[in-house]
Amino acid sequence: MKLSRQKSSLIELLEIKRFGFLDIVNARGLLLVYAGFLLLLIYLFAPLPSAEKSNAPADINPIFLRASSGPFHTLLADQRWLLSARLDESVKPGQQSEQAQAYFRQMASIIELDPGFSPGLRYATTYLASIYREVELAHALLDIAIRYYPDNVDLRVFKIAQEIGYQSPPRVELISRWVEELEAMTDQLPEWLGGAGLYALKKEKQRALQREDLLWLLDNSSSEIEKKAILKRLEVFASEI
Amino acid sequence: MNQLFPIITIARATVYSLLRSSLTKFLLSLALLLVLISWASSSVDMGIRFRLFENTLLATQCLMMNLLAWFFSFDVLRRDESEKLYMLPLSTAISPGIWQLGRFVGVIAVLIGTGLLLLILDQVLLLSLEGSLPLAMLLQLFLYILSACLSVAVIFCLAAFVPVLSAVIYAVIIWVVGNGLDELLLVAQDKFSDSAQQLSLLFYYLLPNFSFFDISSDALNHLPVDAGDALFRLLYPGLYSLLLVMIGAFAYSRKMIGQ
Repeated sequence: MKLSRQKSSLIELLEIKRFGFLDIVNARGLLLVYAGFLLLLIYLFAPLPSAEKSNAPADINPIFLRASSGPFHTLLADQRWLLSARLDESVKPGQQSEQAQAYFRQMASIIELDPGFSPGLRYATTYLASIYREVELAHALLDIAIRYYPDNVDLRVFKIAQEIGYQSPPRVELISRWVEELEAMTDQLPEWLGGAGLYALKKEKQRALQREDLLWLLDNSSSEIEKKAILKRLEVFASEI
Repeated sequence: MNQLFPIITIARATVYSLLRSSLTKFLLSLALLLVLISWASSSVDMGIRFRLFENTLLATQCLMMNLLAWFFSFDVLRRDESEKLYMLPLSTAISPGIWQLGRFVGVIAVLIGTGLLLLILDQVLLLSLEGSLPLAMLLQLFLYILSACLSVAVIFCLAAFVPVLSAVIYAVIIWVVGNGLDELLLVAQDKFSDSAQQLSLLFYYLLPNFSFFDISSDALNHLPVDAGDALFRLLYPGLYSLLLVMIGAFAYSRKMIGQ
């Protein structure tokens, strides 16, 4: 009884006292107009996302990010990968190391969220090793994926290839140790790994590998800034030959 | 055998009541909408073709299956609690435990039915876009159905001890914690002391471990899944649910009338 009285007084307020010419249907129509007006306000004043804002959560420990995102961690990895294309990764003189660290953190969070994301992992490690010249960081990135897939031979082979391709001079003892570990895991190793130590010392082979990687990076880059950085490195390469 | 008939009868009644409910229609409409959104993302190239599409499809299946599990369980148990429905068949010598078991089977049946419906829809989309059905993807989609079944078992077990709303809230918390148990173990192995490692290992095996249902990284990147590993993941929810149902049914059977 009390409720119906309240209801009737509300209708009275809406229709008779204030909008006397409207019937119930029109009063509902007016509510829709109000709703549309509120949506318009949101559209006008809502802030748009920015690259700076998307960069901030990278400082959260990636494993906590993975745990808190539950079964949606791979979707979060994709979101971060798509957003990472908007970040400024151009190499600035004097800031290369800091930039490489920031890029590593960003990519490490993506790989921690989805350690099987092979194209992202290969792209990020090659970019770190070839453009930033940070082989250790590239190895650290690969180590994250290896932690989740300890039996994956391809990842370990790729790590050796990175060492041979970009470490100057390549650490032959380290390569030999990694090859031994691989031999204990599988007997189907690529032929070139048999003489990895010798291979590492051949400068021209190393350069060929680097040039091949840069061209691959260029093909797979989705960011204009990254493309410029890769082209610049390719030009340096051409001038050195 | 005598107990099986009432369980089936109660389960059938539960299935009909859930299928008629507007909640089911709403959640299925939401699922269709999310699948459409996944389909819309199929044009985005992530280095692996259709990766984002597959990823959103997996997230949709996971989200919808768990929402269905939580809402269906809450809907059925709340009605029982408020209307004391489990007291109805006492005249036919059916215990509250049997009643609750029938309700559980009914919810699971609807959940598996809707899950398989979504799975078929996902398969049609995958087949039409990619021209093939990646086995790991199918396994992951199916594991989400099993994960939701385990969620229902957790809620039914908890509801024997606490009010229904609390049971659902605790079950959601357990689901969140259960999904992070593999990360907890990894962190513990790296950074924690030996006793903390043992404790995290205990949680890993003792709590409902929802991280067993997550092979999304393998599925998305089309990595091979070990057969033995897959078999364990498929059997785990059955074994754990059986344990929870036994505890729950025991507690319900001991419930005094009027409680």
